[in-house]
Amino acid sequence: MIRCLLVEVTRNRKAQPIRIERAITADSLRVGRGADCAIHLPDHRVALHHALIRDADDGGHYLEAEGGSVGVDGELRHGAELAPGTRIAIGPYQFEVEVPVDGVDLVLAVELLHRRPREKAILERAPATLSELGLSKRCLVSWMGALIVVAGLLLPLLQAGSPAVRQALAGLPLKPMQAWNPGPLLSGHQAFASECDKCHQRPFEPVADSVCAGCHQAVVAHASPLVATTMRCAQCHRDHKGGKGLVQGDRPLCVGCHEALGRRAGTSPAGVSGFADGHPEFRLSFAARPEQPRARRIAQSDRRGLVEDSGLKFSHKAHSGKLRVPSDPQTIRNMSCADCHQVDRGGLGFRPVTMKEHCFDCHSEKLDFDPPQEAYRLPHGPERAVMDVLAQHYLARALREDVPPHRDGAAAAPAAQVVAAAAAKAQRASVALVDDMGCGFCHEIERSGDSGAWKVRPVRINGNWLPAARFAHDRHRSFACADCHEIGRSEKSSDVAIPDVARCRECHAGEVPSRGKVASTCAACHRFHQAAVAQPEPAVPAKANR
Amino acid sequence: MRRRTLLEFARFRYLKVAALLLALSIAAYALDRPPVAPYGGTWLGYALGTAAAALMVFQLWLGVRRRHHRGGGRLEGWVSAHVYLGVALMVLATLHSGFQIGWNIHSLAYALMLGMVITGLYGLYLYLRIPRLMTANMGDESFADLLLKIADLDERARERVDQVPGATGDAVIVAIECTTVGGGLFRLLSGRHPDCPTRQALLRLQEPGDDPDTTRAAHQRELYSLLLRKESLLLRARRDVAYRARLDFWLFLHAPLAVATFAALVAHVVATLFYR
Repeated sequence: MIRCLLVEVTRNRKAQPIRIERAITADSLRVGRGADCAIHLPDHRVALHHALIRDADDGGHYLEAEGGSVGVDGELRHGAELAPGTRIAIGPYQFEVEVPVDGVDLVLAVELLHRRPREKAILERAPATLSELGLSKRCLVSWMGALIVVAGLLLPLLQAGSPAVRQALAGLPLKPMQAWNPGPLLSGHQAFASECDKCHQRPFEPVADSVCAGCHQAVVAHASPLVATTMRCAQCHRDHKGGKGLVQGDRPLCVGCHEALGRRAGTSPAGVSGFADGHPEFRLSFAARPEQPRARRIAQSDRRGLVEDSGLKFSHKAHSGKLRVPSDPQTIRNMSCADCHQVDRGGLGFRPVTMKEHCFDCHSEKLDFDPPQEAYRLPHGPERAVMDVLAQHYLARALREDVPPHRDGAAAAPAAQVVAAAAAKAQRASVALVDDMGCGFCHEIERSGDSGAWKVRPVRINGNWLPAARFAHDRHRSFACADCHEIGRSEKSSDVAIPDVARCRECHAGEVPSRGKVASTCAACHRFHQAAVAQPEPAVPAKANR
Repeated sequence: MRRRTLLEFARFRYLKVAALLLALSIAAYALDRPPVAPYGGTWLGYALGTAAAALMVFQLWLGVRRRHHRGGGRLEGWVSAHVYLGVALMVLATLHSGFQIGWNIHSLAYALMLGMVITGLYGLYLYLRIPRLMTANMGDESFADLLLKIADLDERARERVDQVPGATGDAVIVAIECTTVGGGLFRLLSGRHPDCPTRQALLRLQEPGDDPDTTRAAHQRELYSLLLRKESLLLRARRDVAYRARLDFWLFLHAPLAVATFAALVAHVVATLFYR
């Protein structure tokens, strides 16, 4: 138990001490700013619980630092013996231990030595907050907002809305409207990239199709008139996307409509949902013969219908491998597909196979006639020309051989007889051409009645089997022809060896990539801007094949 | 018990709202097969853009509400929604863009929005972390207490500085009169004062005199003790200033970026509708 006399010392104007005494009795005395402290020091330089006075083991008293530091004779200590005469500094206060009086164990004189200084002085030397530094959120907000509104909205609007401003800015590097440009134009549109109003003619309205048609006049409309009335150019052709703008996926371009077609009258192909598993079987186009009103399209599953009527006799089997050349039996020739089928310049199809270029070298003897006396050669042309050559040839020979020069007394054969005999010979020779040694070797012959008259059936080699699609032979040159066309055992020209859709699917997937296959959109084979499936034309027009 | 943060408001109500919004948007984006490539002009692009613009307006609304509080729920709930929907906005706007970036007002709006959200997240981090650091730094004292003690120590040092003449005494006077707790932007934010006069004076006072037993040496030791205590108080005061400056500074980035994003958003919408 400590019986303490606390003496609070203040000074009057003459600096003389005024002592106010107060007795405190407790087990221990807490010194601090806190209200619960027995020795309460109301100054913020003192900690809440600054120190504790307790009994020492030797019967004296001890002051122990708690929340603050304690200075004894100018030095900081953790505690101090409270012997008379000791001076202890706690914050701005000085505690002096005096000699105990009767009934009291401890006498402590407490005096505030250091008046409260001006603590704000240090804050006045330098800014301690961002606002004192001069930074203003309001200012920053206003400037940034205004800058963006002016540069990103007002200037482009002004340029877009006023031709005068456009003209004024034309020569300057400043192009405010470019701030609105969402992305690079297609390379073909780059020439007028800075003239937004060239396409965007009316503000807040979509680009009209007529604007596109202004330049793209030759573009063919899609087959269905419905498309022309319900679709805009920009629905598929999105510019400002760089090179990607014209490439469309299957769904928006084709499948979106064709999957549901068929329910609408007169639309085809129907029920197409992609190449991988939603493509109908191929229907091959057979060119129309004169007597037929239009080309026929026959599904590949109809094997009996797949018969080509070309008017020729030809065996692919007999024209492949090592062969003796008929016109020159001493020569052996190794025949391959490319000897006759050469890809055309566009890389899509083939140059026409002609007699003159591809057959004549080996089969020239088929045009020879009137052996063995003298081999004469017929032209490869219309029957009339062949007949004329024959008639002229036999008449000339008759005049040369059967009508000898006048001799004395000898009567010359009548001219009419000679001419008739020559004509008969020509007729016999022409009939001989019908068999396998003449025209009939390659051509189908049409005979008319019993008179022996005949003519060659017009040649109609099917040129484009799939006119609604584009197949680039050139891009498939890494494959052998026989990989797709099964012609190794074909002996007749009526055989059709166009690969079916299953064969294509061995390498081609649909739009979605598949492992080990080529991803193929509809547009890989088909064109959108295609009016209708064109009438198939023969690859070898009759006049060209001389 | 640990105090719940604003992130946990109403059992993560706004986290769930934001997660649902994101799940729907990401699923729609993944399933969508746009005609050319994903971008803001497809139907999904317009939907995502409209949703993102609505979120943006909501984000700004918090700024208005902070100043004019007029009921409509607790502010803590608004801030919680502000945080979660801000992150959702970032993802929605990214999907809206279809990852197509260029040098134009559209991408500028996107970049500013990213800046706004990222500074917002930085602010959230500060709000979750700094108050605890401030409490630990201050103990049972206030900033004013620290300043008072510093000023007191300065007074006491001033009483003794006459006893230490020469360059050392001059350094102490400079320490008393020129030491600051604030300063330029770097000092305010870092709390570091590389050439602090108090430190300079302490270095001088550390130098031993000719005779350690003289009165002058005793005064020097006393001054050293005073300035050492002052320095430790200064460190805490400067740290407190730095904490408060950091809590303030992120808003100097966030608020202008938010307003700039809104301005760019308006320009983006007008540009998109003007040239369709």
